[in-house]
Amino acid sequence: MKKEEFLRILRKNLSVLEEGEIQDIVEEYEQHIDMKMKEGLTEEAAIKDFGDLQELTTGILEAYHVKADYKNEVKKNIDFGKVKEESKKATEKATDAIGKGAGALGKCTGFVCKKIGATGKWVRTGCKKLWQWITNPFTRLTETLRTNKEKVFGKGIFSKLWMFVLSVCGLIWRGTIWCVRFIWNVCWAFTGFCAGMGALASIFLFGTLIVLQNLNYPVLGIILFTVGFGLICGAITVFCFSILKRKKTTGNIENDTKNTHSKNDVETFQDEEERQNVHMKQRKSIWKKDMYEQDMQVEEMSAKLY
Amino acid sequence: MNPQFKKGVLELIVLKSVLNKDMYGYELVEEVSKVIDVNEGTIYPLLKRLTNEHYFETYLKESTEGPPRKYYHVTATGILYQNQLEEEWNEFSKRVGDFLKEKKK
Repeated sequence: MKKEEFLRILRKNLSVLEEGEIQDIVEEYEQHIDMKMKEGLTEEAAIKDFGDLQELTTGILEAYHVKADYKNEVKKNIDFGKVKEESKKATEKATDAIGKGAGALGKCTGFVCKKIGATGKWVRTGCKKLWQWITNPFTRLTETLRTNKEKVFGKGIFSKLWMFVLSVCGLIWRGTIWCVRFIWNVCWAFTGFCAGMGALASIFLFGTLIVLQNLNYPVLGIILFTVGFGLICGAITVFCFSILKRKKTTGNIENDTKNTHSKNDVETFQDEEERQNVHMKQRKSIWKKDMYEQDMQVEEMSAKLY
Repeated sequence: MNPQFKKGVLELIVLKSVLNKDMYGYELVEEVSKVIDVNEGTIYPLLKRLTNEHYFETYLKESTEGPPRKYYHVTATGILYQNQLEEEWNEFSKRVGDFLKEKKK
């Protein structure tokens, strides 16, 4: 083996190291060979004294704490790179397909949401009609009582007392309704808040688990679970708060209808159902007013009695 | 000579050689070869390792013939390490010698 070849192979075997270090080592060996040749040895003999070239490079690399079989791993890495590229292409295709799929899914979801919304509206109208149907006899009764109270109750003290009892019952009924509504709202708000906290926690957990997954921990299953849990929590939160919002908006509408009614501006309501609603409110408010007047009368009566 | 024997003691011999006088690679190889018959190629990785572990430092010095030579110089940690190795070696060879003498009887 000639000196040039020896140095070339040495350089190639040490290619893991920094260029400066390789140069340093190669120069050292070159000098050594030159000096040997000056002493009268041939190139071949001087190089033979180094023994097996592979062992020599292994020894040098060990001095740098480098694995001597790193070359094989480099090859593996190159293969891995190819695989990576291929997989990259595959992922691009897959993301494209997923994008298209997501678009279709979005349209689908939009359609389904519209349908659900329509169903919700239908259910609400149904419930309102049912409530009206249930309460209609009572409202009619109160109507008739209001208009013909003197006929029904007469003019005696007993009739006044009877009216007083009825008004107390009305008060209790309204109080109960208010309590039930309040408890209902609080329950939904609490559930929504809890679910929202759950969703936030699962988002946080999702981020942490993604990092762990990148560190090669086997947490894919837990990630999927977290995503599912987060979605469920989010859905529950949205549901709860939408119900709360619904209540509030209907409340606003009631107020609005009262205001508009007081201005005699009923024509603005296009919906037959809403108009009916306004009529109901009108009746109710008149009824309430009437009850109040009755209460006052009863108080006056009792004051006179004593 | 058993190559395992050489391997262990080579570090001590190299350190001791450079301790007395700064040397360049080829000079050092010749010095070590006087004591033990060693593959010349193995000295250079050893020098590299001892330099990387800061027992040696190197500097270049012009020579009358050929390119400048890289000289090795022992650092303070190198001296301490050499003393430790020497003590260990003395202890070791004494024990082995005593053991062998005892068995001869």
